[in-house]
Amino acid sequence: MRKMFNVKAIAKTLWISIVVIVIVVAAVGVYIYTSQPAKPERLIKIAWTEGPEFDFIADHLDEFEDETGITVEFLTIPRAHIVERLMLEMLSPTPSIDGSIVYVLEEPTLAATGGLVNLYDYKPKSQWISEGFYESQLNILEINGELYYVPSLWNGALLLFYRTDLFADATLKAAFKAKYGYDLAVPSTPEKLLDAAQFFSKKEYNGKQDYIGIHLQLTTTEMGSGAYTIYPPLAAYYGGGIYNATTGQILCNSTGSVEALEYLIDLKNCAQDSCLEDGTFEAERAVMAGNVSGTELAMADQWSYMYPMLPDATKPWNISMRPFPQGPDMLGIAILKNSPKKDYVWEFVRWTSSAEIVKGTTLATPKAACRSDVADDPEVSSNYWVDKILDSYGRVMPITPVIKDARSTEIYEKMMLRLGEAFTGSKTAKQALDALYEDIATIVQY
Amino acid sequence: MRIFYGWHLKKEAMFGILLVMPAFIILAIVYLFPLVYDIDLSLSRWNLAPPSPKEFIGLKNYVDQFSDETFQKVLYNSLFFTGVSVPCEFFLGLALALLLNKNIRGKSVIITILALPMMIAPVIAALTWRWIYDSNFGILDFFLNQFFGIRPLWLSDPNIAMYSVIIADVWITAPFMMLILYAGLQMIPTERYEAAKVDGASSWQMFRYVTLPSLKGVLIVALMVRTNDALTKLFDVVYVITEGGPAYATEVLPTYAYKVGLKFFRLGAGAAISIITLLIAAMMIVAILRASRGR
Repeated sequence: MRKMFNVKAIAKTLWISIVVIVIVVAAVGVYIYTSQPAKPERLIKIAWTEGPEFDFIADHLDEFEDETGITVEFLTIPRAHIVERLMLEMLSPTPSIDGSIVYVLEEPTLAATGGLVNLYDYKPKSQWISEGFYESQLNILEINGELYYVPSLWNGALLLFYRTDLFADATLKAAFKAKYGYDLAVPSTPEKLLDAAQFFSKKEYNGKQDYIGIHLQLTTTEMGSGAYTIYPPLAAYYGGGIYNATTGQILCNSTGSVEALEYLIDLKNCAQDSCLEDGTFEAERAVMAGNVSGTELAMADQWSYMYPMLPDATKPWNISMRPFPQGPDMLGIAILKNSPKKDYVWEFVRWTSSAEIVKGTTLATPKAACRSDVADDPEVSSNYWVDKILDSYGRVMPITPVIKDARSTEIYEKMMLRLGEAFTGSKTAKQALDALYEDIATIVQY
Repeated sequence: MRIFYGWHLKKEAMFGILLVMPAFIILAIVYLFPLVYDIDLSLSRWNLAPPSPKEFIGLKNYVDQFSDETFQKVLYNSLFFTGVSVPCEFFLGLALALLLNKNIRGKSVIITILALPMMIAPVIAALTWRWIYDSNFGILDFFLNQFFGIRPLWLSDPNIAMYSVIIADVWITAPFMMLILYAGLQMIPTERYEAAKVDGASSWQMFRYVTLPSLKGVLIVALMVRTNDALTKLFDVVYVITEGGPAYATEVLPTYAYKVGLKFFRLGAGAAISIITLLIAAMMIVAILRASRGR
């Protein structure tokens, strides 16, 4: 065997081969890298997502590039995963992106890393306000006196969608008056909303025709929709809350919070069976078809962006002010502190928050304008939905701020878990919120 | 070659070591280093929200996790999933392999069709199942409603959701079992069956006394691989179908480790969960090996 194989020679050949292969691969890699066409110096990369507002900006991007000479490259990331991606970019001394969309729920967690630029360094608060930005909205977004983005992209409101034919039906009106003692009208308070939902739901009506009282999105797995948008504002409305980051007080198992969750469970019992599963697509379909799996739908708690779809719906709908408060649905562009092109990203932020662009994104899908000059613009103010949105989103019903704590993401996640336990009946409302109290008490120790 | 005092390395051994050295170096970089770093992280407290410096805290992360109600629920989910899905995959794979071991016309085509689920990216398969389970648009509830008047909430009922995930996972992974066991069956010499026939053995006796013992080695390997995968690699199916909901009813160790480490940014706690997962998987594999040697 030893005479057949010269061991030393084989080993030597093997090692030389490996070294040669490594050198060749490295050389090819260097050649490919250096032969790439040079990227423009004034190029910024922005983490982006999809939707009509983003399409509007993309369609007008050449105007920005002509004006400033800055080229913008979008990196599309699902909004629900922006935090994971952005967090690592902010910690990197050489981030691969220069700016990113940021959502209000995750802003406290991202801001706590110190990786976002304070926009007041570029433009003081007084100047933002004098330009027309609503101070109340800026206050919602401010964290420790710093502003990281303005809600120039998303600022949607939840509205009450209701079936005009059902609310005008004489038989139903008479039955409602007989049962509740007052006239059936579009609900303007949580109590009247529950009455109407219970009346229309198959459990309360006389059984001749089934209805689903209200379409709710109570998904507990997706931040920014579902249970988050409904419960915390309700808890605040009833005098409770979740967690006050300023005082450190945990409010989730207060009397008002428990009352709010018990109310929500009663409302859930009037909703579609799949309310813990449904997403926004299912909600759109339910409203457009006027039913859920064949059962007629009487009301829906849904986003203002759906209003333009209503003329194409198979049943007649209208919108009204949401009968209880909501949280902010604010999304805008933030600048990464580690980016060497901060000033270029600021130009992009300045342009996307200009009156002309904000007007375009406001009209792209119905939402609350972040600037008063846009809200007062005849082309915007003439829209039917403007007053309904403004009433729902701060003018009549207050906007309930988010928890401004670095651990807000985890606190909301635990809230979703405990709400899910209450909604599915594995815990009572009090038990679920007591458990949430313990969760938050543990989290804030980290 | 003299390595240590009194310990000579033969030239053949030296040659072998040199041959595997490049692979070992790569393994050390991509496997050992992250594992050691992960263990170090699991013994530390390092949060990014808010940022805090990394500090050694010993086994506190492990103690905190085991005393956390949510972790206990997640651990139970993982063990339940493994305990149900692996036997389901095994028996389904074995049944299919035994059927395919017969002389059937068009066997190769049938094998290819049955193996298709394994060839689809798990994310795509999971997304397909999510649409199948959808209570409003899903084909499953459509037919169940048409014929039986029922419409189960496959994804939002906490009593059912885990089974929904298990069914999807079994559909994806049973072909793997089938192929491994089929290969094992093909290696069994036919003389054993002939001898058993001559001795008057029934089909069940042939299966019990010839097939199973002959398949033992292959069975052990298949069970070890699937048990490990069910515990440590179950991420995409759960994440796509239910995202761990409703109310953590389908949250498993890998998805929870991701959530704690990369959504809550408690790196030390996330690392501890991943090490716990690894240790549980190792214990189960050792248990399978010991059980197989016991007979």
